[in-house]
Amino acid sequence: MPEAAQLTPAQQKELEEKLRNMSSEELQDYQKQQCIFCQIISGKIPAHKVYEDKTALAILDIYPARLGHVLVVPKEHYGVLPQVPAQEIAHLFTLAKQISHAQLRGLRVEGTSIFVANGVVAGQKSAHFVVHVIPRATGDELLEILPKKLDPEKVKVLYPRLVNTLSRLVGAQKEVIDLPLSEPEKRIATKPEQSLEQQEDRATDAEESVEEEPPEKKGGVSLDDIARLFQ
Amino acid sequence: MDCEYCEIVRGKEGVLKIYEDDTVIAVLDQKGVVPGQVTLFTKEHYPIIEIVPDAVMATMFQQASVLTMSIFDAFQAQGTNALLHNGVPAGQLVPHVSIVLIPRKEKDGLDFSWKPKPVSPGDLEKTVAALKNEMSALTAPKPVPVQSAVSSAPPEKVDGGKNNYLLKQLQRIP
Repeated sequence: MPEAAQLTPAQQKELEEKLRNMSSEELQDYQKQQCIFCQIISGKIPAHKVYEDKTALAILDIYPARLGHVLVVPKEHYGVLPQVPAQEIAHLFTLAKQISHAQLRGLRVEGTSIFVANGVVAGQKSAHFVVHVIPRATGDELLEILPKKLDPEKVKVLYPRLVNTLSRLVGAQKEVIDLPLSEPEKRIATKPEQSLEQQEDRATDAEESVEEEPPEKKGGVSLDDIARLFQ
Repeated sequence: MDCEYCEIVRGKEGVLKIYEDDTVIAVLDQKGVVPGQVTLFTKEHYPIIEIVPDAVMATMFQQASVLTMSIFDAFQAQGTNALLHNGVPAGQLVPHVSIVLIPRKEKDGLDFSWKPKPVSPGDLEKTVAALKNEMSALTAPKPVPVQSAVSSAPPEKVDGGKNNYLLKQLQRIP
């Protein structure tokens, strides 16, 4: 979907300066003004509404993967899935389920897909969090995820990293030392003193790497995010 | 004959489980589109989402959100995708509801984009009407069943069933 118009380098610089001097509230307001979905939600831009309630809206995508493609959006402006509060996640995806059902019944399609893109690299086209519900047909070549055998060495390395990150995120104290060949629970070593230290090291590493990553997981909006919209 | 995911729920070996609770399980995939791909599925066997209870749907995606963050952090990803294919024609690989979470990086060789299909205003109008109609029916508050000695038949349709004597009377009026 087309977003903002192209700016000259001078205009871009001016904009960046302006953004730098805004408070976080002003930035949020600014982003809402620029956000197509926020404008649709506030009635400034028309849309093909299929369903609406207090906290969510479902509209037809006018640049669809297939006719009947619906965008389910929260009325509140969130960037990516991890930023959406649990209750809203519940609402959005139970709504997506109903939309899928409506597509099956009302459009007589063979199947549906739910698709979320977090981050520009993943195909996120607008700054506002969107859940795509797409009518599907055999052979339409959309969203193909045909599995191929993955390099077991690569997967081996990723497993403890992921489990430890997840543990840290949910606040658990367990730590996986080894790759489990059978049940993971049996191989998990609980070493209280070491694991705290190692967790701190990992936390510092994570902090350092955060600066280089796009700040998807932070609650606020970054200048990079906004600048990216104008590219 | 058991489905692949049900086998995992029952404790199949050689699987890289990363999360489990009463409702869902998540594994690090050994077959997929890219290393780091995670699949989350319900413990209960549901073939398609239309029969998944709301509470389970909620839990699935709430956990998917936490896992998305974990994948993003753990693999230094620049983005993530969440995909649920509903129905074999949609590319559902196992007939058991699941969400696939994929870490993304620039130039990773993956592309989920599509070329927008041309649609006419007429098409859009018709589609909106059809979907709105279905959504009204699907989201209407369910009627509370009335305990009645007379009959347990569903409320009569306004467009006139055989028993709708009121309408019949009206029709007889010249």
